[in-house]
Amino acid sequence: MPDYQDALLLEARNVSKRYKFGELDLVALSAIDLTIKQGEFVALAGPSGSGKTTLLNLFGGIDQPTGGSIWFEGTDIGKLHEHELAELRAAKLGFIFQTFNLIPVLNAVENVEYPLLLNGLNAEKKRQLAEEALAKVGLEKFYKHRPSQMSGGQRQRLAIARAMVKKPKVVLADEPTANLDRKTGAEILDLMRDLNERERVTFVVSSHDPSVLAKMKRVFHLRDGREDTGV
Amino acid sequence: MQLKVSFRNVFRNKRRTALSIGMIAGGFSAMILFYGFVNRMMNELQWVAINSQYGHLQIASEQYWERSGETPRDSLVKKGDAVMKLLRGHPEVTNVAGRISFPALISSGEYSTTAMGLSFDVEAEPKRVQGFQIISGSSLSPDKPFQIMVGHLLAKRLRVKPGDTINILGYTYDNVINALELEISGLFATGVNEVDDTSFAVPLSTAQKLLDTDQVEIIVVGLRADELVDSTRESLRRELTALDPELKVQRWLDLAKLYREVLDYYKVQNRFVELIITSLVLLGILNVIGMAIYERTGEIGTIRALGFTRAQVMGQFLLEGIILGVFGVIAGIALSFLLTWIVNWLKIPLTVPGASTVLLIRVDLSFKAYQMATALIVVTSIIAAAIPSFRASKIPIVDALKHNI
Ligand SMILES: Nc1ncnc2c1ncn2[C@@H]1O[C@H](COP(=O)(O)OP(=O)(O)OP(=O)(O)O)[C@@H](O)[C@H]1O
Ligand SMILES: [Mg+2]
Repeated sequence: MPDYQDALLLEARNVSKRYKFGELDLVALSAIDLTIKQGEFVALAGPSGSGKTTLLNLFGGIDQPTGGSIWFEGTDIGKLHEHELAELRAAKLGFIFQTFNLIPVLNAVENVEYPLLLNGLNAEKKRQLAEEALAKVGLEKFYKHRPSQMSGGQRQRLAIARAMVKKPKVVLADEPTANLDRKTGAEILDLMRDLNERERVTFVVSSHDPSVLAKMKRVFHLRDGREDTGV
Repeated sequence: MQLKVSFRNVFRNKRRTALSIGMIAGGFSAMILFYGFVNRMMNELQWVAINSQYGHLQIASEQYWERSGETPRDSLVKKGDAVMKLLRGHPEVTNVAGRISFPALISSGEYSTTAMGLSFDVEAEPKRVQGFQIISGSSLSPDKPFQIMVGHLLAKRLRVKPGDTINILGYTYDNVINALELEISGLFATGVNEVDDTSFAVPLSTAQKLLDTDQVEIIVVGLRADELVDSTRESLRRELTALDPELKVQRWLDLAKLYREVLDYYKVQNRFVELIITSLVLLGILNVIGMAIYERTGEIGTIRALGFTRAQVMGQFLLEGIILGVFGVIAGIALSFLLTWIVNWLKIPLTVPGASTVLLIRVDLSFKAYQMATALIVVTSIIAAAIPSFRASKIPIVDALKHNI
């Protein structure tokens, strides 16, 4: 068993996020405390507008809280410079989006290779890693396909391969199955769970879909920007 | 890889890319054509200045150049024969000829007036004859020494026409009055009224007879090539100073005031045309590239979430601007060749100040023009890509991600 400090990966400490619209003060998140350990497979659940995406973005360092702090591997990421944050994302974070967000002009292998541009690998090594990642998500027959030539499920697999290729510490997935049918969504979720178990990569997945939540090992409930403890 | 991505992005929207490349090529070839036209004009003016006006170099005494001689004799070249011999022996020199100008009284019998006599070696400077545009009669010829060409306005005042005889009266260098009776071969027009109203031209030998001298004021030197002017001037200067320290060598460019003025004028106008064309190209492609970048806001958010920095995102778009610029320039080169061919084929006539014959509008392409236009256009496309991509890279990642891709 690793000790507690080692195992702690992500932490939100009393995090809040407000948007100001003139007089109006919109509270997207408020007093969120959440710790996620290395290797967890955790869901952020809650109805639409409850703050799932907002919290996920804060964990990913692509948005900043208005109160509290976000910690990654013992570092307050609010104190990092913009380029340090970018480096952190390039090396240790993977993103999966509801709308897949693949690069349309690149084929499957190239899409997976693309983020490796930032890791200074040679072309051969990049290609090898990309092909391995594609094989892991079951796309070995689709290396040369452009995203537009692939189904929704295949695209999301491709996006997973792109997120996994750099062997990140954590993959942040915002409603990864919302644009897929039930069966395909379930397959995608099984794939992520499989990767979580075999590669020991932490997954944080947002969803309001009960069938998704049923497959999660842990669920963090949100309601109106606060933790929903069910009482 | 970055290059591959940029390349494919540039050609993702073919219509839009064609539009940008078209605009760039249009601006580029407009610039090339303008440079080429100016270049042609200047080449033409240079030809006229050298061949029918000044020669490549002119040698005369300091008193002549400075107009500081106390008597007319002081402005003559003292050791003319030795100088001519030296010049004829120089490897770069192809042509040597003397000139004298002198004041004289010109009289048709009934009417007379003072005028300026120009004289040159008709045989040695045949192109100088061509420099006077003959509007009636014919020009001087080497085998008829006792002829005279008269400025057409002067002829009008004197009521004379070709074929008439006329008297010129002048002072020899020994201050003795001397006169010659000459036949008018033709009337000329230089386009400059003051000259046409006050000048006549005679063969050098005739002028020397009137002035009772075998010397000349100026020795006009023609060289093998226009580029040899500066170097030959240097070598001649050393040799001539040994012969006669009072001799000074002038280049055609020092003498051709009109040429220099036109050149200065075009230098200003070039900058102006460059400014207009680059602004038009900039506005045109700014729009197109701006739209393309706006549509890719979601992609920008995505790649920044992947860990690309703002600078890297901008770099990608700048690369696309460069690619667009380079393709635009390639298309522009082709277009400029085509347009040049068309303009030269159309043979549009044009009168050039100082030139006696009507010229055709032509475009002389030059490597320098291509260098200049390429630099301007590529920089313009980079700026056109930089402005919208800088704006796009400043959008917060979460906002950029809300644009679906
Ligand atoms: N850029 C923004 N400006 C203003 N308000 C925002 C902004 N982004 C999010 N919000 C608000 O913050 C709240 C939480 O939004 P968030 O997108 O995190 O919800 P969500 O749980 O992801 O919802 P959904 O399930 O619909 O995706 C919402 O009320 C939303 O309107
Ligand atoms: Mg959401």
